[in-house]
Amino acid sequence: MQCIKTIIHQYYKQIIMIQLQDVTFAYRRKPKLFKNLNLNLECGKIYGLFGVNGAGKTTLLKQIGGLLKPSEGVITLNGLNVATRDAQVLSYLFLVPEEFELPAVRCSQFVRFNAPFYPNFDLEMYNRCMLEFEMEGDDNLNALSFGQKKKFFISFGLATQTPILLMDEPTNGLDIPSKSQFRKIIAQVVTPERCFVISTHQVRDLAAMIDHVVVVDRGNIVFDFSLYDIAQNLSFGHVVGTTDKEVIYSEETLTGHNVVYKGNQQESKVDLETLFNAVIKAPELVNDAIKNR
Amino acid sequence: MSTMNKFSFRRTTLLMGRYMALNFKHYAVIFSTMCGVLVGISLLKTWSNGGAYDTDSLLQMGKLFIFLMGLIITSTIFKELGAKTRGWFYMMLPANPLEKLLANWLISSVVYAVVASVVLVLTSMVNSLFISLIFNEAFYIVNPFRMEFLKLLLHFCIIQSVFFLGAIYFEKNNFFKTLLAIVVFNMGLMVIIGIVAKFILNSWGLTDVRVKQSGNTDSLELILLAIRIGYYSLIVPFFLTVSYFRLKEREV
Repeated sequence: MQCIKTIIHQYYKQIIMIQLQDVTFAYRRKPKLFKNLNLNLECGKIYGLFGVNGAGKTTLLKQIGGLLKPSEGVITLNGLNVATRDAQVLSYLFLVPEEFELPAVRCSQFVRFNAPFYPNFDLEMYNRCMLEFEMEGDDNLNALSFGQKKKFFISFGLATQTPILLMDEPTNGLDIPSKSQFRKIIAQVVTPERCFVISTHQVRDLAAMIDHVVVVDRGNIVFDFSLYDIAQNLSFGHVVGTTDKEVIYSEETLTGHNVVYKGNQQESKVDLETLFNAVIKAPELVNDAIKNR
Repeated sequence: MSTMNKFSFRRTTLLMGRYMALNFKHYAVIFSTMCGVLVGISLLKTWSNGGAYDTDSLLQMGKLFIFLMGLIITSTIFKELGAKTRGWFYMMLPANPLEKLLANWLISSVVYAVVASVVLVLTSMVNSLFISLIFNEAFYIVNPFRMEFLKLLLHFCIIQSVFFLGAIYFEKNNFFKTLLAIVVFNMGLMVIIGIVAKFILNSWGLTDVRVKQSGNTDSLELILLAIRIGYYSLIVPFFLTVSYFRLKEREV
């Protein structure tokens, strides 16, 4: 069984892949936001896209979605240029933006009129997700709160079964129970055929589900490693006083220091928040620690 | 080419259905308002005429309403695309740009013309009912197959293609911006024609030439024929082609 799963995984890894090749982008009359950006996104993974405010996370998602075209370079999905926005390319992609408006129709009407465009739309999955989010009834979308709209739209996006699902700050606007419901739903629907790219600055909300970390900073991808690689080569801890271990980054807290050690010196959970801070402050050190093993 | 990228009639009809379903209430209000205003004006006019029902006036007013409303509706046909918080969904809906263009063009031209004609006929029925009850006048229903009405619809379908491009090109106030663009373009064209006519025909316009050179109007007739052919056969394909590329290149 495991062998079949691996074969399926490898197969989908081969057929669904997003490649950003030397992507350069600038908004009109503004300096370049990205310069020669390179990134590969594969199926079967949940990518956490992190960056400080204004780093370009949303812009990057829009570029992957074909909503913005790079001024140089190309973004391909299985070799197809996403900028063409052909039906084939679009049927692979779904975006859940941070802020959005929905038409003044009932949830069921929205599904009825939009679902037919997605060849693999799974109505059962939609109902399951809505139930999980405790979204019962068939209310008018205009009557829903922002958080409820988000839960509805996440359910719709997951049910489209597009291989690439882009989510921009999906937990923004969700209450505390909904955040854990969201994590639970994602864990249920992730398959080797699907790739989730989740952009967020609320690292703690998604720490348990992400298996690959991408950090964008000042127009560059400054960090791009799987959680496995990170766990194999770095360890995290809290120190009060001093330590004799090789520390590559430390930050002061109220009770001492959060530190990142080189090497897997102790069994520790990856602390994404400290890792993110370390990547922003000392990207070379962190990258070298993982690459050089 | 993948089969999904080939033009799909099914997706085009799905897009049309989607648009009409999402905007049904909006259009119901517009057409009801048109019906109400026309009946109101017609009743007032009949009353001011001492109860004599001018059957032609309803058709004339209806024509004006249909034409203007059609252009306004065309200008807003891509309003989903213009809205920053909604445009991305429409752009990412899995359909080819050609299908999206065709669906919206068919709605704003053919479907609109048919629906507006039906509404005008219904309006004339409601109007006649009131007039026959109040003023005891004969029952009259607008004939939508009258040549002048069909000609109006043909001209509408040609002119609306310009507003269709305006609906994609501009982000806000599409109707007024398109109108302004047409006025500026026409003024520029008239200046150019005037200058060319002055140099070639020694006159400040084509009408003047017709009077002056009544004996030799072949070249003028040819020019007018070319303009007529251009108007009837080139405007729609030209503006739809430009609209297509504009839609394809559109970003959020």
